[in-house]
Formats: sequence, C-alpha cells, structure tokens
Amino acid sequence: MPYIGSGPLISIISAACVITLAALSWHFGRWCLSFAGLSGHKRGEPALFSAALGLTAVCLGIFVLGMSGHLSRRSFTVLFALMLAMPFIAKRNPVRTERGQDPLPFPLPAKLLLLAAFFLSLIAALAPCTGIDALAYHLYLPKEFLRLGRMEFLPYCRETLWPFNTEMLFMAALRFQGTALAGLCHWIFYPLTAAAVYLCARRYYDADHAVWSAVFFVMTPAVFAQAGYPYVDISLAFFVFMSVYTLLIARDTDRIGAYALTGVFCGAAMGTKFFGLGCLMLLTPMVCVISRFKPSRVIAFALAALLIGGGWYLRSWLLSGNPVYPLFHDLFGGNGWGIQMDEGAGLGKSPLDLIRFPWNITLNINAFGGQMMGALFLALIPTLLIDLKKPRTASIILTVFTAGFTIFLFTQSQHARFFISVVPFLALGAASAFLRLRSMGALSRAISRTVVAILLVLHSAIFVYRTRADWPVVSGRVSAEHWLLENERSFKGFDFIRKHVDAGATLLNAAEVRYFYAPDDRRITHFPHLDTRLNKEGGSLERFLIDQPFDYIWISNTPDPAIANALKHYAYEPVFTYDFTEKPDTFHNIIFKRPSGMPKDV
Amino acid sequence: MKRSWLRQVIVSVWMLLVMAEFLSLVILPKLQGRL
Repeated sequence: MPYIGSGPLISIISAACVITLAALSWHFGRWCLSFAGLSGHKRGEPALFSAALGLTAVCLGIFVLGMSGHLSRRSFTVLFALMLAMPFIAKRNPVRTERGQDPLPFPLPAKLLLLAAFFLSLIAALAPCTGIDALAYHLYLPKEFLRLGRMEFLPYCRETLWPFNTEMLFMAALRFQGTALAGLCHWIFYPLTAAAVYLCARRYYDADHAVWSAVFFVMTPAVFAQAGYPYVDISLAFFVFMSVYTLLIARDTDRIGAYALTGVFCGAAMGTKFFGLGCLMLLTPMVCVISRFKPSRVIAFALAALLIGGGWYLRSWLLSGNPVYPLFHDLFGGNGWGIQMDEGAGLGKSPLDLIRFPWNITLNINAFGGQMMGALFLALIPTLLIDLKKPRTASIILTVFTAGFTIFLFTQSQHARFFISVVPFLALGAASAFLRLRSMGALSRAISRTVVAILLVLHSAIFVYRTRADWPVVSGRVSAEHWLLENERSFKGFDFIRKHVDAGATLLNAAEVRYFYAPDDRRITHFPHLDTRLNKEGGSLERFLIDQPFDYIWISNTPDPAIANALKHYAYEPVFTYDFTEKPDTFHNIIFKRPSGMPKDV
Repeated sequence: MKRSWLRQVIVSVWMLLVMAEFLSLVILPKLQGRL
C-alpha cells in the first residue's frame, strides 16, 4: 500500500531524511538569519533561530509549489537544491555567538530523562499513523493534493482552505516516503521546542531554571502524546514560543531585525493553525508598547508576519471569499457552508469557569478531549502567588502573553491539546515556582521535591504505557498492514473495500471521517462531503440516495435516517461487519451491498 | 520566621492536595480502565 510501511529499515531511512531536512533548514536558515543583523547571541541561539527560519522557508517553498501545481518529486528536489545552493551563491558572514560564554549545562539524570522521552515518542511517531485528525485531514489532504497535482479547493471538505504550514512538510514526507517520515516531521518540533524553552530560560533566568523548564515541557503527557502523531500542535507551540522569545530579544536590542524575526515566527504560527491569529492579535499591541510605537519596528513586525503567514489567508479569501473558511461564516459568508469553532469540549466559558479552568483541565480530562496535561503545572505555578516579588520585565511579558493566549484559546475551543501552545510558557513558570520553593525553606523544599519526583515518575510510566503497542511494528516483528488491522478503526473497513469491492462500484462511506487509508482507485463518496454538497445545492439526501443509489453503503452504529431509509428501500444486505473498541466507545461497523439486479424504484 | 513557616505549610498542602486529586481522579480511573 502506498505511504504505509514500518520496520527498522524504514525507521532508519525516515530518520536519515528528517536529519537531512533539519540540516538543510539550519543551513538555509543560517543564511536568512544573517539578514536580521543581530549580534550578541547566546550559545545555541543561532542554531535554534536558523533551524526555525529554515523550516519556515521549507514550508513556504512547498506552499508555492503546491499552489503552482508543481508537486512532483523533481520539483521538491529542485526546491531543496536551491535552498542548499543559495548560501553558497550569495555568501554572507554567518551569525556568531558572543565570545567567552559558559557551556550549556545539563545534568546527566535530566539529560537521560529527556533522551528517554524523545526516544519513546520517536517510536510512537515511527509507527503507522492512528491519529484521528491526522487521518481525517493533516495527512489526508496532503495525500489528496499530491493525487490532484495541485493544492486545489475541495469545496465540500471542511479543512481544504485551512493554514497548512506543517502539512507542507507532511506533503514532502508523503512524496518521498510515507507516514513514518510525516510523523517525524512533527516529532522534530518536540526537541526543538524543548531547546527553545531551555535557551530562553538560560538567557533570561539561569542554568537551573533552563534545565527544569525543559524537563517540565518534555514531561507533559499531552505534549508527549502529540509528538507521536503527524499533528500540528507542537509546531504551533514552537512558533508561538519563538515569536515571544524573539520579542524579548527585540526589547533588549531594539533592532529592526529582531522585530522582523518576531513577525516571521508569528507568521509561521498563523500559517500553522487558525489559532496562530491569536498570537498576531496579542503580539501586535505588545510590539507597539515594547517598541514605544516606533513605526519602523511595528511595520517590520507586521510586514514579516503578513508575508510569511498571510498567503494561507489570501488563498482562502480568493478561493472562497472568506479568509478563514469555513469559520466566521456570519461575517464573511460561508460559501454554502459554515461551522462553529467550538466542538463541545470544556465546562463552560463564564469568568468563573475561566478561574476554575486550570483545575478542571488538569483533573477532569474527559471534559477537555481526554488529553492529560499532568499535575506539575497546577501543583507548582499557583505557589508563586503566595510570595510575590517584583518580577523581571521578561517575566511580565511572558505572563501577559500566556494569560492572553490562554484566554483566547479558552474562548475559542477548550480541547486540552490546543493548550499545548501555552505549555512552553507554563514550563518556564513551573520552573520558577519549583526553584523558589526550594529556597523557601526545608519543608517546602522537601515536599516540592517529593511531589515533582512522584509526578515525573508517574508521567514516565504513562509514556512507557502509551508506546507499549508500537514496539512490534516499529521493530519489524509485525507488518504495518497487520498492525493497522488490529490498531486502527478505519483500516479494516478500507481493507475490505480494497480487496472485495470492484473498482467500478460506488460506495458511500457514512462510517468514517478518517479518510487517509481509503484506496484511491475506488469510487468512494464520504458522507460529510455529500451532505455538505446537498446542503449547498438545496438537495434532499433522502431523495438522492433513492434516485442515485450506491452499490455499497458503510455505516457505523446508528446511521442517518436517510441512509436507514435507503438501506430498507433497496433491501441492502450486510456483506462485512466488524467491531472496534476505542475506550470507552465501541463502534459497530457494517458494509452493506445493494442486491444485484435491484431496479432503481422498487 | 512564623510567616515563612505558614507560607511553607500552605504551599505544601496545596501541592499534596493537587497530587492526591490527580492520583484519585486521573491515574486511578486509568488504571481501573475507566478512562
């Protein structure tokens, strides 16, 4: 099957590819960084900023290829070759760190803990993909764009015009290898964000603070879980954090280049997910205040943000008339379709709910989409309130942004994984609290050490438990197809379709929103797309299913009444059934076939 | 001195409370297969 594979060889090839991508990004990003005209970098910062700039450039380059219909392997190769050659063609002095700096300290136990977490999440990322949203659109749409040869507007698909920066990496990954490489293209943001948190804390606090911030970020269960899937939550967190980190540097140096960097990373966040717009909304006034309303600084920031992130919104506006299609349809018009951002997660949006929110999201995880934030932040950060001291300016800026971005996300959608964007900031806060508790007195030192140790052990155990099923497939003891039949809800149904449904037969998929594993050479109509089309055209689903009956209909649990009516009308017969349990739910899947020779009107 | 001890007691109780709640509301139900 295309794009699917696992085992030691594929793992090694994928790892080699992602290392090459990182090296190329660093190489090209270092060249880009030289234009910012910054000096006084601390150790490690040029490499981090270069990698971030380079990855942003790769995403932009693939975006241009996709929009211009150049999605062949050769086009990608030309893009990468250009990125490799440019720094040699137009040579510039590379950015250097300040002389005479201390090495970056990292105690061995913390290093081992982080390496273990990275390694376990790497195993999860290399296993065939089972993430719901990845199969529904993060990977499905890049696959569709590759099949079509261009990033086309698919008018009945909800996500077709969303900002897809990270998905550009996935598209390259699918073009060159498959889901294992796509997984690594998101995983790479896990160590990168940890490095950003570490270096920021090192610059504005101290070495102890840097180590603990990185540990608290990496050991957050929701972050670990996302690192194993080709999603975009950690890449969003990375670019959001980078934009604030460079804003702090812009405040220190007052250089236009630093404000432009803030804009570039803010634009990269905007191009990663709609939530990146919240970053723009918060950073714009902050840039104005911090730069003391100097027009050159504000313009540098705004221009960079719009140039880097604006393309996705322009594409959406030109193709659908709505820059954030299909959101805010009341304002821009839905082009036949509109959805609400809020998907039912959370426990209310009142001011009181906001105050209770940290407690609820930590301890009532099912109400927030099931992702676990862990108890470290709730246990540590509130203790800062009991002994308030005059904060540093960097702490004030970080706190204002964290509070603002949390409130922004809280008002939009309360899925726990969306709040991964604030976890790097929370990690800095938790490290501050932990270090202060250690110096407060013997009792608080003993209790805080005990609590942190217990929670870190618990979180580590959760990491091991989460990846227990991935080892057989990544080590090659079980084939990817066999593993997916056992571990992925949609795969069994699509496998039946691939093996038993004729290429000419029509099939209505009313069971799955995970379309990635659907065979391309079968005539499959996905129910949400058909439903949207009929809504837009003013047609009746019930009439459609009677007038143009499908040869097969695949349902899960209770079908739509119109589908139930069609099944009864044509006396469809079940040809394949299977149950799949995803705790706490069990999905009862049935694929029906219309009896041959059945007339259209019986 | 007294104030410092009071602070330490408050933050310690808070941390232990959060950890206990986390264990009882998140970890134990996970272990029992209820989540």
